[in-house]
This record gives sequence, structure tokens and C-alpha cells, in this order.
Amino acid sequence: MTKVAKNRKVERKKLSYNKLKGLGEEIIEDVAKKDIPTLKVPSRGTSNIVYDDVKRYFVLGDRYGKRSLGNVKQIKKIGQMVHLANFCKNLVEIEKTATIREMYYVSEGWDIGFDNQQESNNVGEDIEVTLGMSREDLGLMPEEDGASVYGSIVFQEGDIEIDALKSGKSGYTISPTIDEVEFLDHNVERVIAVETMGMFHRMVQENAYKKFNTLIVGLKGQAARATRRFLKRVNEELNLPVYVCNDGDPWGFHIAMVIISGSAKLAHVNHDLATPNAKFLGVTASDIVNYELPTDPLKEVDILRLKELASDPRYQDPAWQSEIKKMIKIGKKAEQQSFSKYGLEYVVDTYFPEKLEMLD
Amino acid sequence: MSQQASELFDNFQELTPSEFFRKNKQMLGFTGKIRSLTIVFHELITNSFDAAEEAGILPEIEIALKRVDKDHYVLRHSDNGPGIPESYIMKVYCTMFAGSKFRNIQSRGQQGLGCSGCVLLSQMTTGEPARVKSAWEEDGEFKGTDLEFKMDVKKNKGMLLKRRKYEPQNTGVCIELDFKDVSYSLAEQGAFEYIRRTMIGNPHAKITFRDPTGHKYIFNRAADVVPILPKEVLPHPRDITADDLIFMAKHTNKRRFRSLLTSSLSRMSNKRLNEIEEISGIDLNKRPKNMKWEEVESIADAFSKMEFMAPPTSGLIPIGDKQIEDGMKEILEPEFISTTTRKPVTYRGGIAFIIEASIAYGGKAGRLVNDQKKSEVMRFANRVPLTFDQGSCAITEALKSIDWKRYGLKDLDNVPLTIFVNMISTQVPYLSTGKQSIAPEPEIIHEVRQATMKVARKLQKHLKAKKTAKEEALRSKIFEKYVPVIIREAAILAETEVPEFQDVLAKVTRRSLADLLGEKTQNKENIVDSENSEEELKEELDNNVKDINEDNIKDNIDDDAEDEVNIEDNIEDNSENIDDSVEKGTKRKDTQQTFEDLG
Repeated sequence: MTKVAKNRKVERKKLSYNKLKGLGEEIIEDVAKKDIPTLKVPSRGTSNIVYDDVKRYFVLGDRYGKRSLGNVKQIKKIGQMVHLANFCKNLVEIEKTATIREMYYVSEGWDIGFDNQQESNNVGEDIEVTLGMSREDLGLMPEEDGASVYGSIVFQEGDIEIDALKSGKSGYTISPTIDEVEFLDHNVERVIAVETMGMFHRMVQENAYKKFNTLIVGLKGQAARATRRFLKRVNEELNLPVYVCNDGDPWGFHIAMVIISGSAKLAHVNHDLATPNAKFLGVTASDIVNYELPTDPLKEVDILRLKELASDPRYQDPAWQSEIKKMIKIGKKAEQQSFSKYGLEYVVDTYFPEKLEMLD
Repeated sequence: MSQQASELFDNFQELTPSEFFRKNKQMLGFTGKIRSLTIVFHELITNSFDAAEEAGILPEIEIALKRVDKDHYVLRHSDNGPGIPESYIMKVYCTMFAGSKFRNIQSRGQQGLGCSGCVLLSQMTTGEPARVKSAWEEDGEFKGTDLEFKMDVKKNKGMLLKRRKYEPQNTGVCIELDFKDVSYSLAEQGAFEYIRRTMIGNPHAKITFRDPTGHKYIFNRAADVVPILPKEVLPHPRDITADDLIFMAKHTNKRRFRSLLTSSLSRMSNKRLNEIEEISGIDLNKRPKNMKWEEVESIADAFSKMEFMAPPTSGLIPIGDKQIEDGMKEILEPEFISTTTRKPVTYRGGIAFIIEASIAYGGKAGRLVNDQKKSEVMRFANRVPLTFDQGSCAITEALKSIDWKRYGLKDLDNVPLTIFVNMISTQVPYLSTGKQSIAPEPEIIHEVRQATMKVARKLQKHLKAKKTAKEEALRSKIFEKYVPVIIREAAILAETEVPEFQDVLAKVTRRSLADLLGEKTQNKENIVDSENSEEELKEELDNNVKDINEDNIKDNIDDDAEDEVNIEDNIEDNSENIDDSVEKGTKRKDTQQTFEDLG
């Protein structure tokens, strides 16, 4: 298993390296042929982001823009792209990573630098879509850490082995460089991701990891790229079912949906980030009714958002449609922690078992 | 106690013109210290020009202005004209309404007031006599006289004080006058500016001017031809009133009214005469002296109802495009100039006129105000600069009505621009005796507009071409800077040698390969050149055409600009804009990014 993982890592690295090199070769070949070099950069505009019904996540369409060396407005971007590609190729080669902020500062020394971080972020994404690689593959990582993981799983990060059961009550923090991490061993049947760290700690205290033989993942709101990558990897590499449990409101719904079907903005890397097999456990509108949970009335912005979700291609599943309609109908929302109404243990002792059984 | 009518008339008296203007000197334009001096310059220069041209001499004037005390100056003005015979000298300088120009002819002066007005002002403010030296040719020999005289205002005549004969080498007149209550100024309305403008309207003249500080300015000729003398033309019937007809009838020796009309008016054919008889029902074979007011009134009335050919324009001599441009170039050294002369047309139905307009841009064009170049308008009537009362003038009104933005001048006031407009006519419709502004007749405004818009279009083309050239240069610079870097980086990326890329560079800069390579071998001169021109352009960018150039050039360099895009670019640009908005919508940290997909 370790060997497979290592091979996978080496393969990915090789692929990134060659793709970056290929970008340079493309330009040099054109020059050698005395043609004006052009790069095809897939368009990231909303009109080119399409929902793939089969893959069940957003992908980029086949439209692209051309960056020509002969266009006075595009030449600077080409310059920034080749500089950035060289920087990334070097990172991949020496097996280091840099944050996009660091990359921005490094660019100060380039002949064609960036005017602001926004510009460097955009060019970074241009390279991602052009090569079809995620920024993590290119040695660039996001600033923020991922979620917390608690449960019976052992990671290898560099030379260190980490047991997520023995990393303190807050668990193991998913690193932005999650692709560098190998899964050495585990003894779980499933993964339950929860929106808040409050719920995470409740589950740790109530020994939920033992009761359900599960990994507990504390998302801390919208899931970071590293968290999504982690969930996809445990789902696909370890074949573990993934459940997401969030607050019972449109925002909680959507945190789950971004994990399941990816975001439109990252359509070009959703193949590495989306976990279409993940399941939404709750809190659903039906839960609010069935469990008679304490609620807050829906605000106007909540209703607006629910209506948006109803027309979003990712929510076309009838189950989602009926939950959204139901929530609008009852006009109420509820937090995960509202199960405490029935005692602190209730959510782990009663709610989760019932829901898991229902979904399986 | 009431007075008897005879007593009331005890004080009845007659006022000579000189007396009248002594009390109303503002009517001669003498108001304010600066303006008074400018008007003096104007009158003397105008007279010298008219005299010289009539004699077929290229005018050459020397003016020296000395400051004796605060507000007290001595002006010495001499010309190379034909001179004035002794017996006419005091008539010219001391008798109001005496002159040779009361004709229907295109000329600078018209009223015979100018020179005597100057003498009057001098005498009123200082009490000093006028000194005039005149040299003229008589029976093949030069004669010269040196007079000192005062003006007898009561009699509207000169009063000789001293007289001396001398033997001159050339013809010409030299007059010396003292003035108080005047002041020399470099302002737009000042005497110096008056000379400068005079030179533009009269490029065939030469003026040497020594200012009160002793500095000598020499304005050289830009043209060597004496302007063709305008011919007197008969008045057009449309320009004739009943009163004119009665006056003509009284002073004619013609025996029939019919022949009076044909000999004193233009466009008066037999056919027209018959038409007049038909419309007015008056027998034109009557003796002129027997014409009654009612009769001439109905004839004048007939004139206004009839169709006449436009008045003859042979009497109108425009300055001409080349001469104007020569004059403008000499004084303004502009980067661009365009001039046009309109065809003769008429106003008020019967008075022919021609509008000439020229526009000069860059160089010394425009006026420098506090280190800032401002645009200026130079108004002329029969080559004479109009410096005052610009607000009510037809030229000002016409220029104001033009939408300058359409000609690439968004901020007309702050552009190094000189607009020249000259009206040529046998009768310029001045708004007042000061003769400083032209009545806003609709036909005149229309002509000024048409002429100016034509030259403005040419200027717009020039500015556009200049902008394009600058953009092309900037564009080329960008490529020359970026292409080598990109190819070097691409080679590093591809782990290969940097290939030969001059061909690609030539393609993208749209310049020939030879041009690119050639520049490398002899780059020194070229670099100096391009630096200069770039500096110039930059300066212009900063000062003048900010709005025109800067924005657009910036757009062109700017990556996100949206000019000049092909379809693929469009897709690209769109996607980028959308991306931008997505980014904006998701600026919050990932942990709070619940809105991420709002897109």
C-alpha cells in the first residue's frame, strides 16, 4: 500500500514537471517555426462552467481563450505565466511548496512581475487550467489549514508517523500539502464530517469514533481545498463512505454540496476535489420536523438562498428539491447543536444511528 | 421766472467733431490705460499699412515706446510709406472725419478718425504738440518737412507751431506723440500682443519694436508680396436704403434715374430696371432731382423683394492660405497648421464677405498663462486684429457653438492652440465705433463655423495620427521588452537553448527585420532621436492632451483593456471579468466561504 502511494506521488510529480516543461516547449517550437507563439487557456468564465451530470460535479467546458505573443494586452500575461511556470517547475523539482502569497513576493524579482496579488492569483489559476493540474500539484498551496481529523487512522508526513487518535482532543490538522501525506493504516468504516468544532468535540467526548467506527472531521465552516482533497482521497483511496452533517439551513446544505459536487469557481480542479459519493446526513428540514428541534425563523436572505439552491443544477436530485421546499414551507432552520434539547448525548446516541441506518 | 425762447438759445452752439470726441474719447476706443495705448498702436499701424499698400510698397514700420514717467510715454512711429504732402499733414492728423477711405472698398480704416484721434488723446493728456516728419515724392524728387503742431479743437483744424524743411533719402512718415494715462502691457489686450497679431494678419509687413525696457523686437516678413489692392465696388441694391437713393439723386449729374441706378449700383441690368418699374410702378426715366421720398421708398422696397445676383466679389482680397500659414509659422512655429478660405458670400442680402480660418497647434501656438499653455483666438477684420469686446463678436459666438470634443479637443481651453479667423469685407458690420467686434449676423456665424470646423477636422486627423504613432511606438517598446524575456524563460522551462527569435519579434512589432537589425548597428542617433520625440510626446501628454492620449494609451497597455479585441480576445476578456467578479464575491476566508458559489 505504501509503495502504491509512493508511486502515485512520484507519478503525479513527474506529470506536473513534464506538463510545465511542455508549456515552455510549446512556445519554443513556435518560435523555431517562426510562428507567433500562442497559448490556449481554457476559459474560466461562468458560461464555460458546466455541470457534468455523469461525474456529478462542475467541470470546465471546451471554450478557451488564446494568449498571443503578438497581442500587446496578452503578452504580459504570457510573460507572467512562463515566469510562474519556471518557479513552479523548480518547486516540484526540489519538492518544496510555497504559498501563493510567497509566490507573489518572489515575483518581485522577475522581469515581468505582478502588479498585485490578485493578478498573481489569476495567473496561477490560468496555469492550473492550462495544464489541467491543481495548484497543489504545482507546488503552490493555499494559505489556510484544513479541517481537524479524529479517529483511528495513521498518516505519514515526511518521516513522521501521526496517529489521529493520539494527536490531542483536537485531532490531526489536515495540512495544505495533504497530497504529500500518505495513509499508512486505518481501522474505521466511515467518515463523518461536521460543520462546527463544537459538534466535533461533542462527538469526541461521546466516543462517537468508537460507536460508529468512524473518523470525525471538523470542517470549521466551508471546507478548505485541503479538506476537500482529504475527503476525496479517503473516499477513493480507502473506500470509506463519507457523511456530512451540518446546520439545518441553506448555508449548511451548501457546505455539504461543495464537498459532494465541487464549486463552480474551482471547476478546473473539481476532478481532484469533489467527492460525488459523499452523502448529506443532516440536519434536513425533515429532521427539524421529525425531531421537533428548537428552531429560528428563516430570514429573508435564507429564503433567497434556498430559492437559488433550488435552481442550482447540483440540487436537482428529488430528495434535495423536497427538503428545500419543505424548509421554505416550514420557514424554520435549526443548528446541529439544537439536539442538546434532548441531552448532550442524544445526537450521538440516537440521531446519528438512526440517520446512518436510513442512509445505508 | 421763465426765460424767453431767445434767451434759451443764447448758449446755442455748434460742436465740431474734435470737440465732440474730446468729450467722448471712449467712442474712439480710448477707455482704460492699456486699451488706449493699444488703440493708438492700432490706428498708426493701420494707417501706415494702408498707405504703403496703396503705393505698392511692402510696409516696414519702426516703433519705439519710451517711458518718461509712470503712465507717461513717448511714442515714435515711422513708416516707409509714400509720405504725406505738406499741405495734407495737418488735415490727416488734426481734422476729424477727413480721409480718403469713405468708399465701398475693403480697407482697414474707414472713418478718418484714427490718426487725429491719437493726436487728440496726446494733447488731452499731456498738452504737448505732435511732431511729424514727412517725406514724399513730388515731380520726381524727394521732399521732406518736419512739423510741430497742435490741434485746434474748436475749429477741428491743425495749429502750426514749427516748420522745417529737410532733404530726405526715402519717403515715409514719422510721428512722435506724448501720452499720459496710458500703460504698456504684455497682456492679451496690450500693445505687444497687438503687434504680434498684426504680423500674423499681415505677413508681408515688417515691424521693429523697441519696448520701454529698451528690448528690440524684430518681426520679419514671412511673405514678400504686396497684397493685391482691393477694388472699389459699386454697392449692391440690397444694401441700399431710401435715404441712400435720395442722397444719390441729389448729388448726381445723370439726367435720368435709370442711368443713375445703373451707374451707381452693381447688378443693375435692363431686365432688373424693368422689373423695378413693374413692381414700384414708377417711371425710371424721371429726372433724379424730381424723385420724391415716397417714390424712392417704393424703389428701395422693390429692391428687397427682387432677386439679384450676389454682389461682385472682385473687391474682396483675402490674405490667402499660404500667406496666413507663412505668417502663423513665422510667429508661432507650430507643429501643425491648417488653413482654409471660404468662397465669398453675402450677409444682409447684399454685402459680400469672405471668411478665412486657420488653426495652429503645438510649438509656440496658444498663450502661456502661469506656465500653462492656453488656447487663444485671434479675431481679424480686413487683416486688422480685433482685441477688445470679444464677448459680443460673431467670431467668438461661432467658435463657442462648435462642439470641440468632436475634434479630439476635450478641454479646448488648455491646449496649445491658436485659432485665427479673418473676415474680409467691403463693409465689416462693427458693433461700435471702437471697431473691435463683428455683429453676429447669421451668415457670418455660419461661415466662421464652416471654416473653423474644416480646419479643426484636419487637426483632429493630425492628433489621431500622432496618437497612433505614439501608441505604435509604445506597442513596439512593449514587445521589444517582453519578447526576449518570455523566450528566455520559455527556453529555461523547456530546458533548451534560446532560439533565434528576430523573425518573431519583427512579426509582432509589425516592423521589418531589417529595421530591427538596422537599429542595432546605428543605434546611437536613433536612440537620441526617439528619446527626444518621446520626451516631447510625454510633455504633451502631461500638459495638453491629457484626456485624449493618456487614457487611451493606458488602455492599450493595460491588460484588461477592451479595445481592439478579436473574437477570441472577447471570450478571454469576458471570462476574466467574470473571474474578477467571482473573486470579489469570495474575498472572505475559506472558512466563511458559504457564499462561494454565488458566482
